[in-house]
Amino acid sequence: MSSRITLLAFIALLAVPVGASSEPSKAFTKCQKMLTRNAESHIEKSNRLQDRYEARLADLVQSKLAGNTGGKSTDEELRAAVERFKNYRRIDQARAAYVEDIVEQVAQSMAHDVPNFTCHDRSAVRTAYDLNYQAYETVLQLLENDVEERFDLERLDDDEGLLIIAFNSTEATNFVRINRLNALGGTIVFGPNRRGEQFRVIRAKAGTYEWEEIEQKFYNSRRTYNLRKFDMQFDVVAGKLNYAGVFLLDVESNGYYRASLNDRLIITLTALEQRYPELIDQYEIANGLHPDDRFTDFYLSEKRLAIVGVANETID
Amino acid sequence: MKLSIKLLVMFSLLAPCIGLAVDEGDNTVVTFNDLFRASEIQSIELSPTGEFDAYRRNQQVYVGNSDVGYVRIHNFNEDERVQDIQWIGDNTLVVQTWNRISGVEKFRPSRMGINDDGKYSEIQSEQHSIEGYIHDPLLDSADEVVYARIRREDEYVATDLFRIDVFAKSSKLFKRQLRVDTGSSDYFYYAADSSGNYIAGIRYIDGIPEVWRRSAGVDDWTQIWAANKEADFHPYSISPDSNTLFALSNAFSDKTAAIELDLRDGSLVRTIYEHERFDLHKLLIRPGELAPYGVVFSEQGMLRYHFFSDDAGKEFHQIQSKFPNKGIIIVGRSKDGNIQLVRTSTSKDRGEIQRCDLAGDHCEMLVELAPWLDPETLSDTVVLEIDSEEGITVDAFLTLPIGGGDAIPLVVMPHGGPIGVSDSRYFSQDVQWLAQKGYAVLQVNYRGSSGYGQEFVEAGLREWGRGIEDDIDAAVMSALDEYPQLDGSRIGIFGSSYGGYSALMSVIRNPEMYKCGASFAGVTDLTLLFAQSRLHKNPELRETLARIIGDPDLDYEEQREHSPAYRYKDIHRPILLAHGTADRVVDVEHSWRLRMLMKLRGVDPEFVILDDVGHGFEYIKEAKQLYDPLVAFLDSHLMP
Repeated sequence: MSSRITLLAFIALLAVPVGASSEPSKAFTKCQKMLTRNAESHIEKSNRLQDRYEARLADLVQSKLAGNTGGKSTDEELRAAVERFKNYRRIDQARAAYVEDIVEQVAQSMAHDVPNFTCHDRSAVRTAYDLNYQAYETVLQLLENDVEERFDLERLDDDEGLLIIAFNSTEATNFVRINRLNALGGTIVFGPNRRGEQFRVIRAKAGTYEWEEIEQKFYNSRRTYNLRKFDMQFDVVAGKLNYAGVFLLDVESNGYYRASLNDRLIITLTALEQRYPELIDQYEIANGLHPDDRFTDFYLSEKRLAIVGVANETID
Repeated sequence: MKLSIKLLVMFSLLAPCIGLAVDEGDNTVVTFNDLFRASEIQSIELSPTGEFDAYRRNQQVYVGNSDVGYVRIHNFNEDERVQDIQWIGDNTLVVQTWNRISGVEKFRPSRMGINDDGKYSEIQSEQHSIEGYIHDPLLDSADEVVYARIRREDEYVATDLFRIDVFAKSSKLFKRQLRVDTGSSDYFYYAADSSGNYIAGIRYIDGIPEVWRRSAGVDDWTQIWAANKEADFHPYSISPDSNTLFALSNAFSDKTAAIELDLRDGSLVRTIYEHERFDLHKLLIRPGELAPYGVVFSEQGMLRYHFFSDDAGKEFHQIQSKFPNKGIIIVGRSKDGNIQLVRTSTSKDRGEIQRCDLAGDHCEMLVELAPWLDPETLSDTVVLEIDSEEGITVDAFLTLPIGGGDAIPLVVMPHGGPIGVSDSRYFSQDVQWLAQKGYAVLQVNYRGSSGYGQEFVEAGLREWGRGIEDDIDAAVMSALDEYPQLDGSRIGIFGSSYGGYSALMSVIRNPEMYKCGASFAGVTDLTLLFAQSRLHKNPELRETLARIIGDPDLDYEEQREHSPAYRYKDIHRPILLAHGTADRVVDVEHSWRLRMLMKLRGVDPEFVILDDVGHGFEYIKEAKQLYDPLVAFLDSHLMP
């Protein structure tokens, strides 16, 4: 990855003289060596982790291409999708934060040789590196999940459609369950979910669905919220890209909650264009929230006309 | 057809919610923070003897007077909102709160007195989680009140009356034998005879009020009257002979008027007072008396008092004479009427709370509500009265900036709602801020606004982007005629909620008049208002909305024609779209729709997304996130 900086640069950084005219103390020199070893170790571990995930992503693409029978996306589209997910997960920023920045922070905190210099506790430094390594691994794992989920969309059975799940919560949740009505199976469960906006596309069996339940972590236990009372249903049509509204959940610290399913078609399409642009071209959009909604047709029709060629306008 | 309470509830929803706190700096003469900062003292209540005050300062409640000092009896966290402070005896008061997160209401009585250390303090307190309000404080009975407990049924809301000892344990408050409206059925309002027997009850069936009565001590109620249309009916008192009910209602005419209803046969005895243009807000009745002596209404944006006799208005005029150039509102009075709390204000002055001693004929200032603001640096608001071509008379309020010169740019600011909401001429921080920035500001109580009678409200139905905007345009023309210092070539329009919609539609309808338009939390697609799951669960709400803007299933083309999003190709003036992501009244999707459609034309409007902001502002910093780009936008299109 392009943002990786060399170990040499780090060593140079750690070796910046802090008292130009004085000899460094023994404690300071010893400390710098320890920090350098730890930094080298963290960077090497992180590089190996990164390489491992890069290889897994490459394997995913290769196996998808090798076994791509009936998938709608081209090689370029699939590779472009991987890059988009990297951008979405801010992989470069994650690398900078969890690998390079933490090394620099540790180095800076010990960069001055002062009278009675005391080095960081070695275990504290290791803990800091371990936590950052875990965080970096989590992001890479999420990226791999995204890519797997995206490639999974290429295999659509006859009774399946693509479902856009858009979800916005004021609190993190363990999971959300969406139940397929009058059918065995087809229940959709996803989580854990961070606070804020979630957006994804998954395969789903055709049918009518209902937002059923949410579970939230509450100190050492869990809280479950019944969503059925809000009567939030939508339809999934086979072979189509199904828009099902945006689920909004307001949860307060005392457990009071409100939920609604709002029509945010344009916001959803904007997110879809950024992360799944090829799907918009490949599938017809069905509004599963309001089957008789006419804004979807209006917007898509206006958009097609605009693409065909309307000159940019200026406004007074 | 008449729109009742449910309609007003629904459409105050499309008005922005404002209520600010917190500080922040600025560098102009009058800073943004100065204008938008809330008064620290929000309410003051006078004890029945006139001896003590209870007031709320931010989230704290204090009781006392200048002799014994003030003692703090409550210190609430930010989520606990004080709804009401009310004295129920000479030394007993109740603070009612509402938790904005849980929705739980608390009823907190306190008895004040001298403690063992000889200090004035709270000597007894209690707390109950109950939903309702004090129907009668029973001032002569120290610890007892008649409490109206709210009962929510599937289809309606009713109240049940109990005579309760406020210091009793919660479990003992609502015992059956304490009920004072026994045998009643789903009544919402009540009135008692001179002995305190509740003998009249009012209920609403599909918005139509009915009056029921019974004889004292008997549980059988008889319906004596029902309106022949949806209407408001608010009973106040019953005459000493128990034969007449005094009430405010618009059941008998277009305007809300003061009436007397015969409790024996339900006939209208007489209309005590009706204003030819304005709805009455309140019937004035002195404590311990039964017959009303005056009314309060809003005349062209300011509250006015009208008294039924010269003698009845003597006290008021005595106080008014001390504040000749200010509007006054009586906000409290002692039982004997000798001590009265008065709020004074003007359009450029948040005002003061004065304590007036009528026997001594003098007033003293208790609180200055915004001591950091000098009214001389703020702008006056004048009234315009416009007669439209359709025979509708509309009030508008024009605020001119100080030293504006002879070519002042104008910002038109339609209010939200639009149904059942209206602008006033009292101090407005939004108006004053734009005036500080050199703009004249025009507010319009267009058709559909409240306070001008039911016909006027109904004239606004299905007039979104039509008659309502005709009224606004007519008001602009009238302002330009009457105030030649306004520059007709530099007019912009800005509003929130419905006002944002109106700004966008005005730019579409009349680009010659409006050089730019700005919308905060504005509606851009009428059909989208129906696309919320909460509406599917509430058919009554959906029906009400359909009455106001049409039904998307039946009137789709009409709604398209009057939706800025569908009319995006007709927008030929610069627009600003601002919206909070946490807006649960008008979803942020509205602004996104118009923006993305305009982008299809290669035009990217000014777009301001306010993270975690709802349909209004809770904090000054949120309001500033709107007003900074708004003023920059207006300046770039209206200032030379």
